[in-house]
Amino acid sequence: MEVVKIVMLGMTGVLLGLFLKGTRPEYSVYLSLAAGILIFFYMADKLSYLFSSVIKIQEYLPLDVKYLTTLLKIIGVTYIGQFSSGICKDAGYGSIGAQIEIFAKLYIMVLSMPVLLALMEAIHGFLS
Amino acid sequence: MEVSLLFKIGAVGILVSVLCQILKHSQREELAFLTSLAGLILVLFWILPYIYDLFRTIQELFAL
Repeated sequence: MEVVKIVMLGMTGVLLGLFLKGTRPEYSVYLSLAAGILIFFYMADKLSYLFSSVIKIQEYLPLDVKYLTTLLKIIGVTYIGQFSSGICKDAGYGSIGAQIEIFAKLYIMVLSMPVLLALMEAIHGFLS
Repeated sequence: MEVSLLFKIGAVGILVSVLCQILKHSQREELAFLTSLAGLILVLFWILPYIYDLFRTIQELFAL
């Protein structure tokens, strides 16, 4: 099954990384980066299938495509922010990882602001 | 190329650490430093296309 392959990949990355953490710590960072990227490539085709089906569903609903792309952007920013801050924390640089996470949250707020404004205008329209 | 990348990185790591030990014991610290640098750059060249692919796929997948 696909999940077993992913688990095996992750386990080999962890074991090799642990083995190299004592003598050569920089290689454990490379190993976690490589394992993360390989796992992402397994996710990529599944994600594209999911997003195409979500877009198909969206055609039935009277929803604006703009909000859907904002949602996709937010998911992407979350994923890459989480991935990179996790690697920074693994390498021992927690502060840089925290900075990346803070910027990712900030960027998500910026992305979601137009949606919030549209909601406010809709409510304002109903009330007045 | 899936799991073999991990094994290659591990192999380079082990090789470089062994080489550095040998060179350190034979009083050639600068050579030890150079071999570890070479190992690092080699692994970087292996991983760089993967990192580029990662960011390109993320951009086109999430419409960033």
